[in-house]
Amino acid sequence: MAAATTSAHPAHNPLAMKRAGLWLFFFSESVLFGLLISTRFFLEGIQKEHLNQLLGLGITIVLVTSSTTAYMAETAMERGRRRSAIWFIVATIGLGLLFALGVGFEWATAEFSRHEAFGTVFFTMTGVHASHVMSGVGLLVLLLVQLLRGRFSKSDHWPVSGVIMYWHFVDIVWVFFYPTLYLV
Amino acid sequence: MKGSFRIGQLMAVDLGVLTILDYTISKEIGDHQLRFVFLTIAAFAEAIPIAYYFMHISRLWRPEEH
Repeated sequence: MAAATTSAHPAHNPLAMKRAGLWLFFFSESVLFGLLISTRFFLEGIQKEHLNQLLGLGITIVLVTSSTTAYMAETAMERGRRRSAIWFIVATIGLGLLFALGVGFEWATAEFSRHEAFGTVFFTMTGVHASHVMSGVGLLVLLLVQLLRGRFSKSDHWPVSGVIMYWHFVDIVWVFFYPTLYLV
Repeated sequence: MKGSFRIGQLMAVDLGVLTILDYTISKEIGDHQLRFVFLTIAAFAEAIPIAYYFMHISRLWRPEEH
């Protein structure tokens, strides 16, 4: 009875503590990204800059699609479907790399320099975000290797959930960065 | 799996539609301030379902099933 009571409390539930810790990390990261967004508006106001709109739309659709494949990977793991989880993680990695490629192309073809106010903000925001995307891809690759080695199961897959939550967080950040940089 | 797969499908459609709506708002609304307001609302309309359905934020106060 006592054991059941204590394990139901988040403070005595290791998984709940890990999840809360990860959310605290997300909130602290949100401060960084929020400051970058406010810097953009402080320097440039609410006016649209000249960027490749179709490329921005394309890479945004790629990233939100990768969130769906990541979710499917986590769901498959929760159901013990390792093979499906592996394929959805491979798809997520591919889409993440495609997004990074799109950002790289935007950098290569940008019509402004890093010495201009908007250029400074644009390269900083997309650079910091792309570094998060690439670290997410790295974590997904590590996850893939572990899954191929037979690690994790239906009842023990916190690392899968944690990495995929991180991926969704990176997606949410872009949901705000995309209109801030391309559309406003 | 089927129910979760359906959530995944619906979210993919929802996020795709809202992203294209973002793009359309940006093209069609000339007024800077109105565009800013609509785009802010659209961004939250995308972020909240991701946090709820994909990141399972409710598990923070409803721990834990496995």
